[in-house]
Amino acid sequence: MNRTLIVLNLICTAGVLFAQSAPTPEVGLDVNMRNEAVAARGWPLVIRAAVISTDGQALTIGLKSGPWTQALHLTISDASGAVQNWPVQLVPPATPTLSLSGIVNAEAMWLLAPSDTTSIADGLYSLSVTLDTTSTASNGTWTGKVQSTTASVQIEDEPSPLAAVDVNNKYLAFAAYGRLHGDTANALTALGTLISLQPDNLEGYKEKADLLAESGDFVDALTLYQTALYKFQTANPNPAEPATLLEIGAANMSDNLAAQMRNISTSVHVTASGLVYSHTSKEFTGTVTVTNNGAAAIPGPISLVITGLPGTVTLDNSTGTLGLNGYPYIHALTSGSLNKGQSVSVPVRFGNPSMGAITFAAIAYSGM
Amino acid sequence: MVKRMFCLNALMPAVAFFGVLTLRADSVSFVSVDTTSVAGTSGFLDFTFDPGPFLTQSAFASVAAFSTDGAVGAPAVSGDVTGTLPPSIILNNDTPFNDYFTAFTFGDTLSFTLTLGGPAVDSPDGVAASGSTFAFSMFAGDGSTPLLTTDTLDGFAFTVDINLDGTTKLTNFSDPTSVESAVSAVPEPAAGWLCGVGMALLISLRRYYSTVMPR
Repeated sequence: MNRTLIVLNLICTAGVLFAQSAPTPEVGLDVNMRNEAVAARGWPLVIRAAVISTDGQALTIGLKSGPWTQALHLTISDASGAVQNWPVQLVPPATPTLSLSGIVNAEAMWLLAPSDTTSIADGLYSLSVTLDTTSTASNGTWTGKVQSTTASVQIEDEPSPLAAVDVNNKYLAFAAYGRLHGDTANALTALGTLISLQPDNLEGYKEKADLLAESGDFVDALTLYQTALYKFQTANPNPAEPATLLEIGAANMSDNLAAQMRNISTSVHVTASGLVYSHTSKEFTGTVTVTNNGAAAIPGPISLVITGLPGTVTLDNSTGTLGLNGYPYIHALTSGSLNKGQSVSVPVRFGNPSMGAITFAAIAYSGM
Repeated sequence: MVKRMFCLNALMPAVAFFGVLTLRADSVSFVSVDTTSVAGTSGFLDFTFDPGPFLTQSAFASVAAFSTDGAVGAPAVSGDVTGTLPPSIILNNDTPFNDYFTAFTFGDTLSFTLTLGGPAVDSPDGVAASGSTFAFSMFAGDGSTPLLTTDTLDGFAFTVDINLDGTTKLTNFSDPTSVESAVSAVPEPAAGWLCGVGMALLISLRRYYSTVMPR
């Protein structure tokens, strides 16, 4: 009896292994980051197909000619099933061939401009994607045909006033559209608006941080992640689950920043004026000067990270804070270079309600 | 011996000369303020002299010969400040916040002599990384609204920084305030003493050698 069970077990295991030997892609679909989206005319639509390998097995999708996204066929239907012909634009993929393994996925994006959604009639639309390489796959790549999950989008007039969820959806959609359209400035504007309207919108902070990081601004990206984490922790003193995405994001930004910034303390001399108290601003004010004593010009930006401030003293005009310790830093030079022998001064303003001594160390960095 | 005398002749003036050069005079400024536009206003004057955040060399700020046709009231003093206005106060940079904040009814004018001195000015050590800064401000009756200045953020009429090389830097935000530097052409007492000693020694040596040594 036992022997029979063992044999059956082996057969089942072999079956599973055999099934796993034929990796197949799966395709998920959403619109404006939602499986069931609601969008107003005049908003952009970002249609995303996420492709992942079943069971995480290695899988390559490549075509005889053209990028892999040409094997994706998007179908949009209205509530009656009538196929729609929206003027969507497929964003070119990063690589012509798609290689998947583990939990790594790939995304294909279609964009519909705000001006193009204005002419879409009210109603519920369903979207699906077919991934078909049966006649186009290049040698050694996956051949087959799979259907994506179905997504839907309700198109309607923009409500007035906008509910909180609509504010979130609207500006995230504009940000994603701007980002994928190569319009970073408008994407940042959209996210800035979202954060100003909803200061506790953590998704807004994360999206803006990631966008800034794409342009190399890891300092502000880190600050945004830290702000989001702070807000999360303030709102959830005992969270059921940690804010893992935010923590990973902050850690990544810290790593990127550490790789980007260079401690130039050995090449510069940092001095300061007296810090005089103002009865008007109730602050101690003065200047800190960075002088290049090195043998070569130091490329900007150059910042001073202020450490060791007494607990009751704050740098009121800091550019931001840095690291998990929240050290304030201030830009001394935002662009250009600090030539050999050249100095640059930056005003500093300290809050010091205890009126005690203001002491600190100023560590100079270039690259931030 | 002639050679030795030649060396002394060359050395002594040099010693006297460099004795003068390595010592600096205090920074003296004459300050006058036309307060006509706020005459009769009850407010405050503020004199503050504070060190920087890094190693700071000792220095003082002396406010002397204070004169006004206004009326000086009771002061609030913080830190290392001695004296009373009028006629004079001395603020040292030994503590983080050295401040003389006095009630004042403005007349048509006020004036004083500001002297910045001490080791940070007279003999910079090249080690300090922070200077010190003096600031003068005039306020309305609430003690914080600035008067007679364009510096609406901090309310300073003028500031004077003591730089690390002992020089000073004036920043004047107040049109009615005149700050005239009076760089003394007279060497400091210590420098003059050294110069005198050097010259006297030189003269006596020349006399000695000219008397006992054949030409």
